Amino acid sequence: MKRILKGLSLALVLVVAFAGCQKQAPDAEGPAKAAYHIGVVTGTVSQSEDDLRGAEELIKRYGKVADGGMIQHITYPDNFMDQQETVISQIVALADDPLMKAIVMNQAIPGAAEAFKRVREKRSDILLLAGEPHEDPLVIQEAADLAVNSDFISRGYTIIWAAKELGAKTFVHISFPRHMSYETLGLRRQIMEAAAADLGLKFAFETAPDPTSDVGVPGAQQFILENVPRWIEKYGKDTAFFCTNDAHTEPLLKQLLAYGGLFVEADLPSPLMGYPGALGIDLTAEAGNFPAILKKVEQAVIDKGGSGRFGTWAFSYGFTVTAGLGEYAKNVIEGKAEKGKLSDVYVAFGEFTPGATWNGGYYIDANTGVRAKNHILVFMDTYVLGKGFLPTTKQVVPEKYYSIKFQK
Amino acid sequence: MNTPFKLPSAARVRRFAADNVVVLIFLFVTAIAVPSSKLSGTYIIQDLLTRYGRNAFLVFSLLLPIMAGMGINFGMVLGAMAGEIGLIFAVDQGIAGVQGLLYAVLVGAPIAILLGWIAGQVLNRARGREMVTGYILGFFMDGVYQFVVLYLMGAIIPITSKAITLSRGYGIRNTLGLDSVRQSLDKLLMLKVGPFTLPMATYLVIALLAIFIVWFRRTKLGQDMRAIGQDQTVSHSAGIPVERTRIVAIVISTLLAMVGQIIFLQNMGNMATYNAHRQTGFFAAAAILVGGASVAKATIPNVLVGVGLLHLMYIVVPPAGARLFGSAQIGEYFRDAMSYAVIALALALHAWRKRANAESARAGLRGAASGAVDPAKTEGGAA
Amino acid sequence: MSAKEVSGAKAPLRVGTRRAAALVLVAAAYLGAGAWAMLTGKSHTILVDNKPVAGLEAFRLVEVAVGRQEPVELGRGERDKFAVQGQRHRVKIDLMNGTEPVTTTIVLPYDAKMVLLSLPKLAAGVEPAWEPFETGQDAPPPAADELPEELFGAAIDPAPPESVGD
Repeated sequence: MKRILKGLSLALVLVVAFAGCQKQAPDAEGPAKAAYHIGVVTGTVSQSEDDLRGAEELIKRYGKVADGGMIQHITYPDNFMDQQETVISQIVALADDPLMKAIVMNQAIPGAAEAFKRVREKRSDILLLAGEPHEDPLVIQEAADLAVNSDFISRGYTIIWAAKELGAKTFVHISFPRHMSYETLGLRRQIMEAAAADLGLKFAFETAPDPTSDVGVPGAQQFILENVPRWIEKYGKDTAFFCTNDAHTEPLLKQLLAYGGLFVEADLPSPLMGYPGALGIDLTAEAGNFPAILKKVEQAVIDKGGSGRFGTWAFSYGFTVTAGLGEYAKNVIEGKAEKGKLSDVYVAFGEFTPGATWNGGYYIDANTGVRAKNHILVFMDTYVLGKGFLPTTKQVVPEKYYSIKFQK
Repeated sequence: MNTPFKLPSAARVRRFAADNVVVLIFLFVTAIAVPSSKLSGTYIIQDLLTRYGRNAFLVFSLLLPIMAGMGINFGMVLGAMAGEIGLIFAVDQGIAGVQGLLYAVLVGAPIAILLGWIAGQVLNRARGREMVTGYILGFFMDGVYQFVVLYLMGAIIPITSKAITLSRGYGIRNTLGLDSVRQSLDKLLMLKVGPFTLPMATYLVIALLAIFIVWFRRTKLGQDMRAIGQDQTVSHSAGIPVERTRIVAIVISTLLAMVGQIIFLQNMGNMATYNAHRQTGFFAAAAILVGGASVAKATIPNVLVGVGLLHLMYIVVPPAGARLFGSAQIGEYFRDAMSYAVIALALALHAWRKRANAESARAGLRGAASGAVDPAKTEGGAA
Repeated sequence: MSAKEVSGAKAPLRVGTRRAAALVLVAAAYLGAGAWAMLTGKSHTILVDNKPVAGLEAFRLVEVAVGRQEPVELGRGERDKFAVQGQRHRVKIDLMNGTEPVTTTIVLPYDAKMVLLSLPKLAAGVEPAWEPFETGQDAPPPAADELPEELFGAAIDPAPPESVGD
């Protein structure tokens, strides 16, 4: 009995401690209240840091709702695939705020389409924007006002092209069945395979564990750490590696730095994607300042002898999509941008990527040839650390890759 | 005269607190979170009403194995998988509406019975370790499920609809749209009360299940199960077929979980083909434990209280966390941590209580022998 | 789920027959419920078409209703669709010119996903007034197992149009 009471009091102390924190949070509602709110949904730091930093950038600019600002930021669970109920109800809860005028979701994980449908049933006035949707393009196009993907079709070709530029003879694609069942990722793999054959590279596929499965992120990362040396032995040092999962990126980079091998860019490229952890550098001082981050990452890579072997985008894709879609939503609500206009989206993205070149286009359904006006694909130049930009966006992707159909 | 009179009442308060620690902690946390979440009352109540319809059936499926002394049936995910396979076929065959759900139940039933029987056989060989065995069994069957749905469907098992297969021709898509059956049970009998919509048909199904469980407890089989839950050896010598009855408990639980998952998914309107069942067992277990059940004793009120409390927390804590701590993640992590903490606490409490009861029973015996009976302790021993 | 047979040493035969009867009953209920769900739950799409066909004139303006669904107005040469469940449907045609609305019952085959129902034919009493309609998009793979893998995979699979919205 005593033990029970001890346990009870311990638990109470914990709860009180948690509750105690609330008093420190200022509940002051300033006089300058925003006229409308924008809901931003991202992953947590452990799943997709860049997306979350984009939301923080928006908060920095426009303030958070609790302080009378504009941005209401929430995060979805790390094991979102298993908790769709939570994902959906969190998003729908945003629509409970009568001032809510737009919801930006990056990444639009499975369940986003259903959540958007529910929001629309309740509040048809809310603008719904999906960054990097995981669901099938046709499904999300039906539910969202605008969806943005990294250009998985063009990049299927340009990544292989860039790998060849870096001197790769073999291209190794690391992924797992859940990702390969996504139309976007599976199709890109097929395009890569075709492009590798055309450009004279050997293509190989390696399977690694899914971090959302029971092994979790640590298990998946352990697997990569252990296997990369073996893979380099198997395929040689002139091998470019590519992985579809964010959590795999850091251990992959770490081992490539140590054992040789090439890396063009991550699935969702960013100087923050994998590099800080793999290099063991502290970027707190540079937070949000991408030119400075890039410089520091570049220096660290050169110091470790990786010059000319590692690439990235100069700005974070995840960061830009979250912040850019938020900016775009604000512009649309304020009447400064037009809903569904590609150039207005680029303007909003450019707000966060000064000096960078974006390229892309509308999503075209390979089966019907129909152009989806609310689904755009974007990409930017690859920056090779220690070497400079590759003219990726200037490459003309041969027409035939656009008509490859997802089939494997 | 004063002291013996006071003692039991203080003990009673303590006992009540000890018995309901989990519920009390939960009430406390949620009570703090509700105002800070800044969600409107209408929204919270409406969401709670929806979540009752969505989840209660699944949680009910845990009752029988607990009654039969097998702990929480984490193997219920097997039933959930059977339900998903049923739904895949209903969508593939283009059978819509409530009929589609019935069809899914009919397709899922034999699969659930088979899986439940296998699970029962395994659990009979893992006596005393039913919970962890069931949990691991769920992981194992998850692999089998993936193999069947990702490789066999469309290749060996005929699937006609191209809309749900991967375009390679076999395997089911990662996310299955359930448009044809979406909320068909909920919308069958929607009652509008003020600002709220109540899915009466779903509630009716849940009420029928509750009545079934009340009735079932009184049958010979139900009595047998309770006897086995008390003491297997005694039951065995009393001529109760222990192994068989335990299997039946698991089969029924699996069947109910199958139906529960179909009800859950028809409300969701969307099925994560390869993940929807992964946390079903965990959420159901958390709900029933939050409701004050232990791994040895669970009642219908436990289910109803538990579903309400757990989901109230799920509704209010993430936004409350986002507002209070100034960071969206913390609310989310707190919600996650709380639900796991509840399971851990409930399991630990059960072990403590078992030992405490045994101790006080011994003390009671000793006390009776020496003539000085401590009322609090004997009472504890009787619990 | 009867526990009776355990104590059934007294009259094994009677219990055996009772058990068999119960089994038959369960099987019959299972099959019956299955048949009911399949027949009444099967979804079809009926395209109602007001175009001239086989010597029959299209109507200038016509209001069509299938079952209890909201009626739809169709001008000359227009086409609309109804999503229905089950095979037997009452179709009501109102020519909106003062004449009595005509109600006919059509019976669709179980496996017809989408049919094209010609209103002029239906009004003129031509049997059958409908024909199967292949979208070419979600056509059932004809003899899928004979097709080589690549060809099969290359076929189209967008969401079926009837599932759009809710």
